[in-house]
Amino acid sequence: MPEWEEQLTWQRLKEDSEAREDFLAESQTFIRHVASKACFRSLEWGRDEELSEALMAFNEAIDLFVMDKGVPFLAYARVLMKRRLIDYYRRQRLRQASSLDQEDIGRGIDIHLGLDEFRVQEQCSERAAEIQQFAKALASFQLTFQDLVAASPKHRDSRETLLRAALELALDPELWLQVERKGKVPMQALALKTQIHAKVLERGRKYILAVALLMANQHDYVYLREYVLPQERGRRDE
Amino acid sequence: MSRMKAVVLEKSGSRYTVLGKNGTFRQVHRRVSAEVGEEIEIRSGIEGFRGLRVWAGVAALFLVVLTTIMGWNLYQAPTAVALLSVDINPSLQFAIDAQGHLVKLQMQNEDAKRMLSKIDLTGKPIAEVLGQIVTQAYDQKFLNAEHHWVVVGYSPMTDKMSKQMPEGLNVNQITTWITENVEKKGFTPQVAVFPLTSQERVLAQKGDLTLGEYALWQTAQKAGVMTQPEKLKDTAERVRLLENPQVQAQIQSVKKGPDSVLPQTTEPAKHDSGSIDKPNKEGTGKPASDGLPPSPVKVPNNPAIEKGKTQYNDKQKEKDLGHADTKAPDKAKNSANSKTERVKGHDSGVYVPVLAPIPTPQNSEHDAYHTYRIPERIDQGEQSDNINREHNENSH
Repeated sequence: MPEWEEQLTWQRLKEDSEAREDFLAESQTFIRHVASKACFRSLEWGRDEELSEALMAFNEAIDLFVMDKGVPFLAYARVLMKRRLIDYYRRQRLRQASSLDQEDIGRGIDIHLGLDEFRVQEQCSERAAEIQQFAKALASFQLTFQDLVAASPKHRDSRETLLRAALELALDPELWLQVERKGKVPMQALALKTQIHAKVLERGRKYILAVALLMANQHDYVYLREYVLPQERGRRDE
Repeated sequence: MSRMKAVVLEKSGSRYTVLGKNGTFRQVHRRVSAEVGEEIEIRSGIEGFRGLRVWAGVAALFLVVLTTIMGWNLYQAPTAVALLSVDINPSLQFAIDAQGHLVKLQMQNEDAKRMLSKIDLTGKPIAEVLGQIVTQAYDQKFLNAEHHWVVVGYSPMTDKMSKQMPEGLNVNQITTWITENVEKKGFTPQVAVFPLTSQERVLAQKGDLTLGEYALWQTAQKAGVMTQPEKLKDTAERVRLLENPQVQAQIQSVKKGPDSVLPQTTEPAKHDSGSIDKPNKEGTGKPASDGLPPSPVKVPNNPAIEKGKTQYNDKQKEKDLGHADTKAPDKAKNSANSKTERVKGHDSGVYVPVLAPIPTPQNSEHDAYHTYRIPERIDQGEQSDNINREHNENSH
């Protein structure tokens, strides 16, 4: 979960226009990412209207979001943005709309989706989509879920150590770039950075890579990354 | 067990592959119908931990039982297999286990309590126990020139336990254990060791006698020397019996044949029944070469007798017998060259020269020397020596 989500209270975000502006500015990357995926093309600020629609949907999500509901804000905002874009395409009567979710178009999308309406089923379908994407990402590294089950550390201390290593890997742009380019975890550099023994890292290589994938692509794995973020999990366990 | 949420990543057969809230990828049994992406609740521990816990419990229980059994075997109270009595003036009786360690010590009189009041002998090996007892007796003047007899009796607790008795527990060894410590202090006690059977032990206890007292009484009875058993508590009476020729002859006869005085000896082959000396494997067990009846008087490690009553008047002996070597200290008398010893006569109370095997460092501790009260034969011996000497000179 982004740091701002921890620092700012939603109340302040809703009432303070400056804070909201800052938040929107920080979230532009996420908005663009979601909108581009929904439209199956790269969108640019100032050029594509879809981004404005997505931004408005995101702004509306801030108003409607209630933190206590236990729903990740980005997941909720993402759904809202997708629906807004579907409605946008329907209004524009553009053929590109057909590339969006046909079922959603067919039944008529209500862009004003409340949190109460953001039911379990929809969250599940969102998660399923993330899982599908995650499986594909793993496959590009010749990994499967079965591999992860085998490589997953059983003991809490080992798991915490590897999760910390994965977080360091995901948050370090240089290291993560190496992962994306070479398809391998830079063990030496990671060991140097985390001060964890290379043998420990090597034993948990597959696990580190999978978890780092979820952590690094925070816009794609809004749901799944919550399962592997150490701080989030620790706070929830309390 | 706590539960946690997990998202279903994959369905395969009867199992789900899930990603738990604690960041673990796991496979769980498919208990509820769930689709990929759905959140389910799983146990936060290891899958199948309940079974594991049961097995762990069983293993722990087994371990506890095993430890208890082993601990019980290791630390259970040692079993007494033999009873041994020592009568000096202090009388005491103690039980020993199969390893020859003292299990329980019983003081039979006040002297014994006083003597061992500051010593804890429990658990110590029998050799050390006997050594300390005799040393203490000597240090506290219970053993001295006037009172120099140590009567020892021993028996297995039961017939079955006779096989479990410590291997070193025999007449020779007991005599060695008793004498070796005090000999360093220049005193050699006279030791009478009686092996008894478990039946005899029961009879001794019924008669309120120690094993040694009972055995001595029985031996005296067989020898025709009548006495009251309760009198055996008196040191003087014991000494009187021990120095009685008939009793000594009886003891010697028992030594020769197992069916004499104490016929019920469980292992007559191992024990020298009723011995009051340390039989010499080579010499002392044989009859005297001159055909004289063997004397039962024991002279362990030397001219023991002169260290008892005989010590009082060495100068007188020199005058009476004219032996120059009697001026030498006791140790000198033990030397291999000293073939002739002087012992106090059983009846007359005078010292007479006796013949004894040549003590050597090897046999001096264990050998028993037959001493003979035959002053007239000394002349024969001297004549014989002179004849031999002349014969040797002539041959050279």
